[in-house]
Parts: sequence; structure tokens; C-alpha cells
Amino acid sequence: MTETNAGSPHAATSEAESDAVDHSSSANIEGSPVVADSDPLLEVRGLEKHYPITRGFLRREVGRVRAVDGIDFDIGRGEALGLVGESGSGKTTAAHSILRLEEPTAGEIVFDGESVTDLSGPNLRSFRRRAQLVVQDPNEAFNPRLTVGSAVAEPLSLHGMSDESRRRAIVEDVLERVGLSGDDADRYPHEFSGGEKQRISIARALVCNPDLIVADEPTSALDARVQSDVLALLADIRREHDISILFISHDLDVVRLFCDRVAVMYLGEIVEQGPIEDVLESPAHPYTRVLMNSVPSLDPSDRTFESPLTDTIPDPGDPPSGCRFHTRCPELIPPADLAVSDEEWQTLAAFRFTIETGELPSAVDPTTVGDVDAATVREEFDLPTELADQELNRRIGSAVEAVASGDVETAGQELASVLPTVCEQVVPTQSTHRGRPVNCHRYDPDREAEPVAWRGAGL
Amino acid sequence: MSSNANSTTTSTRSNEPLLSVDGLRTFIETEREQFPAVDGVSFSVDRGETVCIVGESGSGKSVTCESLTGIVPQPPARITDGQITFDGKRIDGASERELRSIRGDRIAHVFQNPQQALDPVYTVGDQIVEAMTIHGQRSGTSARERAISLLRKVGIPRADDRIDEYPHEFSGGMRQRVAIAIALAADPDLLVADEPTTAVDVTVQAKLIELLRDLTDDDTAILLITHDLRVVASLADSVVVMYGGTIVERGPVDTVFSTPAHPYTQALFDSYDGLSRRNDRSARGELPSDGCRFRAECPYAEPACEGGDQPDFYTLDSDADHSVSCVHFSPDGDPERVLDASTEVHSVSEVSR
Amino acid sequence: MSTDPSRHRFEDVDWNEIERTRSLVTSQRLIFVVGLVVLFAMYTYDSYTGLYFLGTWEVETLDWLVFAGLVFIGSFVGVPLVRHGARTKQIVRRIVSRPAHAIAMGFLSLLAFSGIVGPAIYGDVRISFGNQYNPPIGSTSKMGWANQCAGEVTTAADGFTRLCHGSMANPLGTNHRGQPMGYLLIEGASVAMDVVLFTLAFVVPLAAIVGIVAGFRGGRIDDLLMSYVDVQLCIPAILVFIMGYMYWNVSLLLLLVTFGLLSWGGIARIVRSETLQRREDGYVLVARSLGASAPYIGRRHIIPNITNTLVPAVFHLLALFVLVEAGIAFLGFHHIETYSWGSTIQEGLTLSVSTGQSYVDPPATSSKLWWVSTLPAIALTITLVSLKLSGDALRDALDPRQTN
Repeated sequence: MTETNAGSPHAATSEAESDAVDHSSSANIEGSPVVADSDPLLEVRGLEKHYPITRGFLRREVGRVRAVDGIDFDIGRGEALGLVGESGSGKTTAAHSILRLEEPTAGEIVFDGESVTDLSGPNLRSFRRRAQLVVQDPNEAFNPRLTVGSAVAEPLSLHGMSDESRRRAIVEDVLERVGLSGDDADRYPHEFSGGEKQRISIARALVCNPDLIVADEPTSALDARVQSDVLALLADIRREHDISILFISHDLDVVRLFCDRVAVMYLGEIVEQGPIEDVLESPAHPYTRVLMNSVPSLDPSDRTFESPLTDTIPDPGDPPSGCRFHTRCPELIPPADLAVSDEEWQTLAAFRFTIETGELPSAVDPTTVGDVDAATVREEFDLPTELADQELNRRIGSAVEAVASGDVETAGQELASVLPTVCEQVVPTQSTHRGRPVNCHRYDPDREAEPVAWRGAGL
Repeated sequence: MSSNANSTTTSTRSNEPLLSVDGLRTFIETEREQFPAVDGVSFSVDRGETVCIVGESGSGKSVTCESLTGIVPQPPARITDGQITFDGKRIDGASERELRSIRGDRIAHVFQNPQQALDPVYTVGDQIVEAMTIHGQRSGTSARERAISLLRKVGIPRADDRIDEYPHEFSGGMRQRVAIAIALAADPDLLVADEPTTAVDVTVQAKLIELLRDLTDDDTAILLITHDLRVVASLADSVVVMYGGTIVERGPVDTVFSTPAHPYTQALFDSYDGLSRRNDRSARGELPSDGCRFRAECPYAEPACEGGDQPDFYTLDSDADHSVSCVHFSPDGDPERVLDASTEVHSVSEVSR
Repeated sequence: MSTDPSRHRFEDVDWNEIERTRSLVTSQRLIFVVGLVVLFAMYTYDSYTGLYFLGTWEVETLDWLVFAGLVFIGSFVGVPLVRHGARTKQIVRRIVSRPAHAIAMGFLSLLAFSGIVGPAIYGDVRISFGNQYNPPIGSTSKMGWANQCAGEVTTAADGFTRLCHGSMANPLGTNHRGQPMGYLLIEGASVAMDVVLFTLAFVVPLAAIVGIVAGFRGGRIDDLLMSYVDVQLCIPAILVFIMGYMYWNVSLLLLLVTFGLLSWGGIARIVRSETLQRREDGYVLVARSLGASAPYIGRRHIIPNITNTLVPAVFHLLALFVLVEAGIAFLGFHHIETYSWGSTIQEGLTLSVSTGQSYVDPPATSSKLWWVSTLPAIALTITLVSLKLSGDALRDALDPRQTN
């Protein structure tokens, strides 16, 4: 690679997506992977992975953790897809299911035209050679008892290359290509820095000449500068060998540097996906916006974070009904007949879902502070004292009284009945926003609610 | 931040910095080698101020902060040099007993991994109360009440219930909040936080940053160690940039972020801007033990960078508090050569989101 | 190494070609199978015609089992050691760099050599009561009237008592049956080696496999295996052994089987908990994503990483079994023709009871005929200490992070 920025991967976008998107075609710079046929390398359809919660010696199933609950995405040949979400969103489980490290509960994974779940024998071996994994923590990525050379040679010997001198030659060659030296093959993992270990990880993933690399937070344990080095190496390799990459991260900022497209996951579902520039320029789903707002700006004069409605991530074993994000959504849809302003609706909704999660702020927690009066509750939640709708006013008042008297359950029921929202009642279907899929009622043409304009800037 | 520790002797008590470090040197000695992990570091922290030390692993930022109260394990570490003045009193070379009374009581530490800071067999309440009673504060029911109010202060809901829970019952972000609550138990003047937001999700990080910001409103000074410039931008009043055991640049956050002067600081900013390519291992080279430590990687290196100690600090024309340890900024140097290359990329409008 | 550059580039590997020539045969498996076949052939030959390997050594069931164990250890430990010569040399260098560890390992090697080869060379030593109580070189003993002395005979200062001096014929002296002590020590070493090899070849692999399967598979299998281990830990092996002693012919095999099969629970638990910790490590995930089998992961990634706890535990178990065997033999629950160190010690301590025709002062016997029990006691002690030290030596030598 001669020029630093010319082929930088975040500028590169696969042709496969561009027909659905109205972004400028100038993003395709010379040297970037351009996909000739629209047949993707990996297709994931309705992938589900549920873990049973069992009890007793006979392991009777009493519930299920829906770690991944029906996700769809494609990865084109030579394309890098970022899978983004908080911990617990199911992104790592999804990656493991794709690699068949976990057996999916349902759904289909098609790799190069063949269903991965049906593979066996030589075909499965071939898949395991063509799809490789790079793990997160460089410190536990290597068996401390084996030299780096034997770690990198392991894929070769596992896939039947019995010629030891040839393995050695290939390993030395690949180590040099990731920026280390051939002699490093005889050293042990603990003699390398974190960044070097991650380079060796990439060498190990590369040595079988794969078509897909699944990289699970490959740089989250590294310093910024080392991180950008390692990402650059991964980008070069990807371009040189036309490798598709599934890049898992909790950090949109890293995905921005590396990926062509991004899929945002929340509680086992993909809420939005699309080309990275589009998503970062105008994120559609409120959760994507929350994620973007949580990344601190590099400008010291801009220090505000816009918070979600509540901070509690719901239990994946018992996900919220309707849209799973509704309990935290700052853009929750108000009922059509409710005569309140947007701001009033937000404070009321925040009040409702904070009460429902039971995570009362201590100032109004009657078990902590003893007697709480209604005024304190109103103050704590910034509730408007006077609403235009008298009926609403009265019922909010009674909920506030209930909270003050410690009866959180009644308050919750009262608020749920007076502040209903379509977001908790109906599971959003896939809509499109600027040609990319978004799972949010606000983008559903059949709903009255309109999308909220994105006020923020890009990362 | 006053950048020169010598000036503190002339200033009045109220203007005196809370903490000033002058010429701190800490060696790491192993059987095989001996090297200065911290090699002549000077900075100061005012009351209620947030100072961020930025650097990557191996820059000596953690050893610096652990040397302040002597919690750095000795051996292998050995503090050989330097004056540390805290609240007008010299604490370098203080006895272990004196240091213990300062540690936790006046200067509290928070670490990257809250698992290490929290004892899994005691409830969080016990641990907060313990931290208070060690410093002879209170005991009994009033201690418990204060523990609850501390948990409330760090933003833990239902504090009265959760005080009796064990660390494993808290999520990662909540555990870090508990660790901060323990650190605040003795009402310290200075909170030293080593990468407190590194191991958590971005959404949780945002909450922790807001929490730390609220603390400084109570006049608690914060010395924050991080490798993430974004965290610095969101928290710091002033910045200290470390490389190879030495400080290469320091100044108020606004000017350092608008005009990063040292080539290393610029390289740090570059990594937020796109992918860098330093693939060639030999180009990175060994860390020099004299002269400017960054010169092996520096695009502007010249013979003047070699030999002697890390170059002196030169103030920038734009801000007298902003100083940089680079020969190009000396009176005979040509600062424009370094700055020109950076200003195109690093004007504030470019880096804002 | 080939000069063809395409052989050095991973892009140019023809995986279809490699997939076609893929075979399940490895040198380890080959040697293991061939070794077992040869052993079985010899066993069959022996059962029909009788076979003497060396001298007059009669090969018994336990010996066959130990041979099978040696084939197993040789193919799955020995072959890799030979194949990775550089690593082996490094391990040896590390052991040698610590004198105490080197001496301990050296002693164990000597013990193994004399225990395995010694009895065959020594042959069958006839009991000759006439030769009883010849002292070791440099020591003397009072002689009974019927005694023969292989060395010089002198008369003591009282002018009546005849004293037998030690000689090269029996450098370590003889016992009350006139058997040379050297022979008895080597027989004892042979018994100790049987214990060690049987444990290494059967008990430790069983414990490791159960631990890895339980830790790796988890769930119901883990529950079942660990419940079984808990139950097993509650059964006192000595009780089972004594019941066996009452109903069957007593033999070393019976002892090894009862103690061996009832005492691996502790090691299985160690292996299981370490496996649980490492199951989610990155390198195990990567190996799984490459399609590695569970036995492969256990052998290559789990076992080498738990040597820090496993190796000392195994050597502790070996020392324990050697001591238990000696203790059982000391108590007399041993086969009469098995000359264990334990039984020799016991005989040395109760000479007056066991030797009716002795002419020697009963109260004085044990102390005056010190060599009979002291020599095997020393051998036993050094063996136990060596086993413990060797465990530490191997643990340190196997860990590449340890620096010398």
C-alpha cells in the first residue's frame, strides 16, 4: 500500500449495497473492493440462539435467554460489516453461531451458497478453513505454552498439512507480512506487546487463506495509536486478499474507521443497518443515536451527552414487549390523543419507565428517606405541575402520590394505563429510511408518528 | 495549572496547587534489566481541578500516579528522585505510616478493573464503612447512613437495598461506581483514577464521565489517567501528555486540543482520524534512553533531538500555559514546521463531532 | 526446505490436494498401535509356551499391564519429546540448572533403571539361611554357630564371640534369609516403579480424561461425573483393599487397582476446574473454530496449561501411592514373594520374631542388625523426597514464562 488514505476502507463501499442507497458513488475509490456479482459471501437469515434457563438435577427448562433473536444480514465478498451493540446485545453470540461454535436455535446461515448448519465431513472442514476467528483479548488469544510459530502453524496442521518444513516456511512468510520477523516464530506469546500479539492473531487467521474473518473486538484492549495500526493491517490484508470481515465492536468510533456497513444490535435484534457513512451521518434508530451520543466528542467545548430515558438494560431473559428499546427510547411515540408537548411527553415517559424498572432514585425512595412528599417526587422527575389535559393531570397526580407513599406497583399500573405507547404494544416491522432497513415505528408509513430529525453531527 | 513547580514556593497558600510533583523518577528493577519507568516528571494539580495524564501503555502514566502515595509495588519499582508536595507538605520519602494516613484519606485511588478493588466476600456497604473507619471517621449507624448517601451520590438506585449486596451482584459500570464510592468514603481532596472507563461500554462510560464531572463541583480534584483523547476532551481542565516515561506536552485542554504541538501528541490525534500505517517494526525502534524519547518515531527528528535529557519545555505563543518539550519550539527552532503539518487536520471544527 | 517460492506462500496452498492426502495416521498413534500389537503377540506366546525375557524373570499380569503403560507413555509422551528435540533440550537444561532438582530427577532415573532392568539382571536369588546377617562393608555382626560369613571372620575381645565382617560378596549385607540387601533394594525399587508406572499410565490419564470431559462438556455430564467423584472420594480404598485381600489372592495388582481406581478424584477435580477456566480462552475458541476435536484441545491446549497445578499434584499422588504400598506391606498385607521396601523394613524391625533359629540376643537385634531396615527406609525416604522435588522441577521447567 503506497498511499495512506487512498484506499482507506471506511471510504470504500461495496457495490452490492449501493443500488439501495443514494450516497455518492465517488466513495468507490480505485483499489477498493468492488464486488462484481451481487451474490453475498455470507447470508444470515432469522438467526436465533436461545439459552435455556434450567433448574434442578433434571435440568427442567424454566425460561430462555434470547441472546440472539432473529437477525438477518449479508456480508458481500471483500466487504467489512460492523456489528455494534452494548455488552449483552448478543453480538458475540451471533458471531459464534455463524462460526458454528454454538449451534443456532433457529435460522439459516448460508456461506458461499451452502447452508452452514447442514455441513459435515470435508465440507465442514473446508468451511472451518475458510472462516476464521480473531478474538478480543490479545493476552488470552495464545496458548502460553506454545511458541508463536506453532500457534500460527496450528490451523495448517489441523487442516492436514503434514509437511513440517513447509508449515514453518509459510509461518515465517506470514509473520513477515504482518510486520514481524520470521525469527519471532520461536518466541513465546508473553514476549510480545498487545499490538504485536494482535498482529500474530491476524497472521493465524490469515494462514489458511480464508474468505471470511470474524473479528471480535480485535482492538478494544489496545491504545489508540496501536489500535489504528492493527486496523490498518487488517484493512490492507482484507483488500489484498479480498477477505470479508465481520467486525464486532461496542464502539461506533472504531467501526467508523474500518467498516463499509454497520448493523446495530440491541437485546438480540438488529435495529438498523446500512452503509457506515449514511448511518453515521443520519442515524435513524433512536438506539443508534444513543450510541453515537455516548461517544465523547474530541472537542473539549462540547461536553454534553444525551442520555437514554432510563439507564437500565433490560434482562435478555425477559425482554420488553413491542420494541425492545422502548423502555429507554428518548423518541418514544406518544399516544395520538394525548395533548402534551414533546418535552412534557419525554419527562412523563422517563417517569413511567423509571418507576417500572423499580430503580427509584434514592431521593424519592420511601424505604430510604422515610416520608416523601409529592412535591419531591415531581421535582426529582422534573414533572410538569400543570398539564393542559385535566384528566391526565389528575391521574399523573395520583401516580405521584402512589410513589410518594411507596406503592410503586400501583403507580406503575396507573402510568402504564394513562401513558400507553404503540412502541410497547406492537413489535416494529422493518421499514426503510433512505433505502436502509430500520426497525422503528417512527419510520413505519402506517403509523402517524414521524421520524425525529437528527440534530447531532457525525462522529 | 501552573506548569512550573518552583513557582509554588512564592505563591500564597490559597493559590498553591493541591499537589505538585517535581522531577519524579521511578525505576523498575528486574533481575535482567533496570530502566526508568518515570524519568523526571513534573506537574501540578489545583484544588477542584481535573488533570488528565494521557499516554499509551509503557508511557509511565500509571507508575507516576502510583508513585505519589507509594502504592507502586516496591520492589520491582524504586522511587529514586523527585519532590512531591501535597497540600503544602512534602510527602516524598515519607514513612509508610504517614503515607497510609494520606492514602485513601486525602488521596484516593480508583483502578481500571473494579473487580480487583472490590473484595468479593464482603458486601459493598461493609467495604465503604471499612474505608471510612480506617481513617477514623465514624462507625455504627451513622457510617451506614453515610455509605448509603455515598452510593446515592455515585448514582446507584435503591442504594438502601443494594448496600447489602455483594460486588458480583452489580454490573461492570455499577461496580466501578461502587469503587468510586469507596474512594470517596474518606472525603479525599484528590481522586486518582487509572483508566476508570476503559473496560466498560460507551453508554456506561458516558455515565461515569458525568459522575466524575459532578465530583469536581464539590471541589474534589481529579487526576485521571487514560489513553483515550475523547475521555480527556470530555473531562479535563488541563492535559499532561506522557511518552516513554517523560512528559512531552502539557497545557489547558482547549489549547492542547486546538493546537497539539508535540509530534507525539499529533500522532495521537492522527490515530482518531484514520488508519495509520506503522507496519514496519524496525521503524518504531527501541525507546531512546536520552534526548527526546520520541525521536525514533518522530517525522521531524534531527540531530538536535539526540543526547542530553528530554528537551526543556517551551511555551507556545498562543497560550503561556501551554508548553511542549520539543527542540523545534526552542527560540532557535522552527515551530511552524511542526505546527503547519498539524493545523490542517486538527482545527477544532475538524475534530468536533 | 523446498526452493519453490510458492510453497512458502499461504495463498498458493492447494487445500484440495491436502484434503485428499489427509490421513489419520500420526507417528504417536502408529507407535502406540504397533507397540500394543507386539505386546499382545508376546503375551499370547507367553501364555502358551512360557517366556523368559531376561534371565529367569517370570512375567506376570501386573508386568504386562506395566508394559502396556510403558507403550502408552512412550508413544504419547516420549515421541513428542523426541520430535521436539529443541524444546526437550530446553526442559532438560532448566532442570539441570537447579542442583536439587537435577539430583532428584537423577535419582528417579536410577530408580527407574534399576527397578525395571535390575530384577532381570539380578536373576532369582535363592534363599540360604546359612548366609543370614552378613553385615555391609565396614560393619560387623555377631555370628550364630550355624552362620556362614562371606567375609573375614574374627573373634571379639571377649575371646568367645565370632564377628563377621562385611565383604564385596554382599556389599550391603544380607537379611535373615540370607538374601543380599542389594537384591532386596532393587526388588523394592521394582515394586515402587510398578506403582509409579501403573499410576502414570492408567490412573492419571483416567483422572485427566474425566476432568476434561466434565469441564469441557459441562451440563448433565459434568453433574454426573462430579457426583460420582464425590461418592468415590467417600469410599476408603483401604477397606476395599482389605475386603479384596480376604476374598482373592493378595497381589500388588489388587492394591494398585483398588487404590488407583478409588483415588483419582482429587486430580480429576483439579483438571475439571482448570478446564472450566480455560474453556472460554481465546486460543481454545480459535482451535474450536478450526474444527479441532475435544481430545486434541485437551491434549494440546488444556493439559499443557494446567501443568502448574497438575504436575505437582500427580507427583504428590505418586509419592502417596509408593508410601501407601510400603505401609500396606509393612503391615503384612502383601504377597509373600513381593519384596517391597515396606516388608523389608518391617522384617528388620522384628527379627527376633521372624527368625526362630537366630542365635542373637533378641533385645539387641534391631539396633545391631541396623542395615536390614535402615537401608530400605533410606531408599523409601529418598524416593519420596525425589518425587516431590521432581514434581516441582518439571512444573518449573515446563513453564516457558519462568526465566532462569
